[in-house]
Amino acid sequence: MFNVDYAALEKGLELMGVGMLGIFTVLFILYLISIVLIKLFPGKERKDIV
Amino acid sequence: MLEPLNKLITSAGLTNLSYKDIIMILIACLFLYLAIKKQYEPYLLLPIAFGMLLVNLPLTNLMVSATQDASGGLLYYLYQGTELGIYPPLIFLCLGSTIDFGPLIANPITLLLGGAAQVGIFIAFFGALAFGMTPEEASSIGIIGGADGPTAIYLTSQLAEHLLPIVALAAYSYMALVPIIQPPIIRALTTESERKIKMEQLRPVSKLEKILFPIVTTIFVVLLVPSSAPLIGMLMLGNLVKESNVVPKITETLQSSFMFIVTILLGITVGAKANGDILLTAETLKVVVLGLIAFAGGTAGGVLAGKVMCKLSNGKINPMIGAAGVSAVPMAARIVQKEGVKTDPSNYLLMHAMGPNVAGVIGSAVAAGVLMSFFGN
Repeated sequence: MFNVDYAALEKGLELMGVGMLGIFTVLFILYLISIVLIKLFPGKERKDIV
Repeated sequence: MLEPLNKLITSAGLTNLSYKDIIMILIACLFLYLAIKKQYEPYLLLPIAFGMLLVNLPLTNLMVSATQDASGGLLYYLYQGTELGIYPPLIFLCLGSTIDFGPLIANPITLLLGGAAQVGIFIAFFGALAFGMTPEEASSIGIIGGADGPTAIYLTSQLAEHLLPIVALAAYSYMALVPIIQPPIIRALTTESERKIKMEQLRPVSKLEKILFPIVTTIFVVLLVPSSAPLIGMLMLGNLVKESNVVPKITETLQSSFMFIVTILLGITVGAKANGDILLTAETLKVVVLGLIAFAGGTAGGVLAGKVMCKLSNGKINPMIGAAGVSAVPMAARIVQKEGVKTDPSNYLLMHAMGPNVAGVIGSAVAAGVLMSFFGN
């Protein structure tokens, strides 16, 4: 059942790190953009209540 | 006289039933019972179970592919929408028209909680590799941790089609089990004083911000991860349709009839892929176990990231909201609200948890895009 392929696991760990880094990079950039947008468009009429 | 009778008997489904068909029919009936009587994700489980029932009745040829001489079965043609990755983005289009990104825009830092909760995907991915599965299969199993049915179906249909029915069933089953899976993990990883943290009321969000968000998100996310375009693009289009307020009839259609039409097509065709040869294998058990690990890992990842944010913000962020980062909109956010009220009846966390919750939808779509870029064609 456990046919451990260490090379595949090493590759898996690498992909895990790169994958999470990729997700965080995208979301962090989105976060920075949101901050910039909030500063650029502060919104004069704030009628909507979240 | 006996020959036609013999022909009739041999061409009847009853005489062609195998033990695998019988087991699958029983499983389909069990799922129908769960959908109707227990109301576990009935909108999806009901058509999945019925699709499963139909294809496991012998000689129906519903999933037979077309040849030069003969046309294919009904479900074969409907299945093309799943196989070609059409239905899941359409579900995302409808989902986008129901989502309010306001809580996320009001507190954009929660985007990172939506990202942290995707760690479950990669934990299960790694676990699946350890079980000797291919990277494509491991990706499809891992994505269950995103707690996002359409994303799981989309990625699996593109990378490991043979796992589609079991991945879809596992993803929706765990989503239905959010109220059972998440609370113990949240309680185990947080202290009572952390659970009692009250968060400041969210600032109001202007209409302009809500309109700009889907446009800007589409541009930047798709520029960074182009393979996430079908999911992110459709999600943001649906949201823009809603927030722009210029096409209310389309918004109304997406939120109701169109969503149900696509859901039934997606459900019945996913169920139609579930035959005994695929489902009654040891792989199914692996998918179920790894799916649970993915889901639990995602919840734990979100809560732990919430704890880090709690420390960094000097106790202004309740770490429980990180658990909502696993998508499962809005159920995961409701669980956080319930846990908050349980610790302190005056602690309302629902809107705060909706931020990471909708961020989780973006996060899981990005995760799917990242995995597609690793292993897709």
